[in-house]
Amino acid sequence: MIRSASHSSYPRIGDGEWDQQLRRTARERDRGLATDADFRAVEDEVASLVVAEQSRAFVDIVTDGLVRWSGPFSHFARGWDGVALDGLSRWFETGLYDRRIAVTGPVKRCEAVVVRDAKLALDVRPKHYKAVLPGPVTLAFSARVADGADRAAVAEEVAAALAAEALELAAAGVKIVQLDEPILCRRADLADLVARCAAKVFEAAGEGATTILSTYFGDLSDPALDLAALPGTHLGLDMVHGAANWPVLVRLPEGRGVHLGLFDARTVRPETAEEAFERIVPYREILLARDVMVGPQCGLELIPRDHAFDKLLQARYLKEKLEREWRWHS
Amino acid sequence: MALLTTTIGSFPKPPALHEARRRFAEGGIEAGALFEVENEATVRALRFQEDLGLDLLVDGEMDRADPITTFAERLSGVEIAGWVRVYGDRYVRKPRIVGPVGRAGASTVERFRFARGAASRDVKAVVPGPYSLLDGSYDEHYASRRAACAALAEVVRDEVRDLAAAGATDIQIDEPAAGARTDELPMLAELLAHVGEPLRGRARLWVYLGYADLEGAGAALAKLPADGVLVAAAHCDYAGIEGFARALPSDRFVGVGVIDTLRASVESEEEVRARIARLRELIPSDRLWVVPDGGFRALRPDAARAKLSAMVRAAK
Repeated sequence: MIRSASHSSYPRIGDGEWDQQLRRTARERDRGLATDADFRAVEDEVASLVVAEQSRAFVDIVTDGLVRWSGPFSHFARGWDGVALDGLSRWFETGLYDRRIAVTGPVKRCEAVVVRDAKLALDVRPKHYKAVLPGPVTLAFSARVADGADRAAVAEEVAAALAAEALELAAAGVKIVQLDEPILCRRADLADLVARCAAKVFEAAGEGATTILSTYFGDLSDPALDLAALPGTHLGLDMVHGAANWPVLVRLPEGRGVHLGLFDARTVRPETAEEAFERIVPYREILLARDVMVGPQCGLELIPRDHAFDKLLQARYLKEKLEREWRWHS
Repeated sequence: MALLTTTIGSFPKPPALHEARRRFAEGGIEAGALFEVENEATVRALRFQEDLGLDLLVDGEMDRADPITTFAERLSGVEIAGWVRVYGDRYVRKPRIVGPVGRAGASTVERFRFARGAASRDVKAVVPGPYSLLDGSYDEHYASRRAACAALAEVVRDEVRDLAAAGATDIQIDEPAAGARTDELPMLAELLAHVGEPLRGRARLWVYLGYADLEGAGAALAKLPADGVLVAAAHCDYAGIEGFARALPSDRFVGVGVIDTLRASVESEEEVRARIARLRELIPSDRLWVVPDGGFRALRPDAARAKLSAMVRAAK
């Protein structure tokens, strides 16, 4: 099966008058002219609009754009005990900053964080909706912990908290869950821990769920990495920044689906479905035997909205081209 | 011993300036009228700092939407791509490099001259650095990051040379992206040395490192070639400050953030005093400057005043 897919985040503001609503309301809130409730209401509207906008690009699998997330990690602190927000830190080498998580005690989930968001997104009735969760290992190894603290133990606690979230997402009707573990591209030595934590979350997502272990900002070419040991129905690979990921396709375990990050969500350089098609042609036989998703390699909020929309359009065109030329069906 | 104080660059814009910018964008007023409103806002920002007793003033960046975009959009070879989120609810219009970058003329000198003429004390000029200009843009023209950085460094070098010629005695290069790729720090050091070369013996070169990861790259960042280094650290409770301070060359001035400009809550004078005491144990007082973590662009004027007031009282 071949499907087009959004990765995770989507720009929450754009150039149009209404597209500035979230930014405008945030500024009004800062000046005391709007309340938190006003801001949350606009966030909900924007999130629904973002689901609709991705659907308008005829992308098969969409997200809610992570529109309500304060940052890739900090957003989840609101629902967990044992963590606090620390100083500002850069999200890998991107220009996006987030408050770093500081671990202050055993990490435990005290309330749902993205379940309501998922329900509202499903109300928009997209073709397929994907919920995105932060990777426990990437989070634990980026967090501020006490000297000598066991980061692996923190990752296991975070995985338990996210498993509880995944269980509620499944109950809410979510059938596709993605766990982001970009750290795996830089720390192959953490593969066992990543596998253990991801398995815990994916198991909670329910039998029959599509589970994506997403990696990006690098590659999984380390020969010591046992791809078969990584859980999930799909492995997410960055084919833009991780050129060494192309040979990895040959090593993929039999039957494992793949989310191919073919479009660069970090640049506004125009890309076409034809260019992406040419890149995957040599891997035709390997890909045809699998369930494949095509789209950008990471969240789209690193580029302006019109460019983000165009990347999704190209993903859709690529999928349609593959259907036509390879007689591949979605 | 009282410590010297300065700020990072931006101050809250008054409502009249927001209104003037909106009217200018809609074609309701001419550039000259907007310039006048910006000048009035600059004078207010200067008086604000003078009243508080800051030692080295800034113009408040009343003509800049953000540190990168306003400078970049005045360059040839640059277009604006669109709005992108950088943190929380903060967005910038991110530039896009589409051709060889060049400077039609000085970008910040006229505003600096005005501020210097209106101020009772020295004014520090603030210019974005080449590395962060690249980091904050989409490059679609140059063959490599190094080539792009080198071209931007020429532009920044010309700007600081003009600022020095206009009488600037302190020039701050903003490099908040400095620690983003540690493997590129040698390149950044080389470029900064090139940018600062025309200032030798004429003006002090400061480098602002923003919210750099001092735990990961502090020692290398401390050695960047400049007369002074400024860095945010209150936001993360000084994580990595010891290694950064140990690595500082003995002739380097250093300004470390003692108030968190990302949080609206106001620190008490005692809190700030405790932070300064901690820094005094690591950095000799004759080289230590007291600064906020970042600019005040996103804070309400009352919060900015209260925070800065606590900072200046604690430093003195």
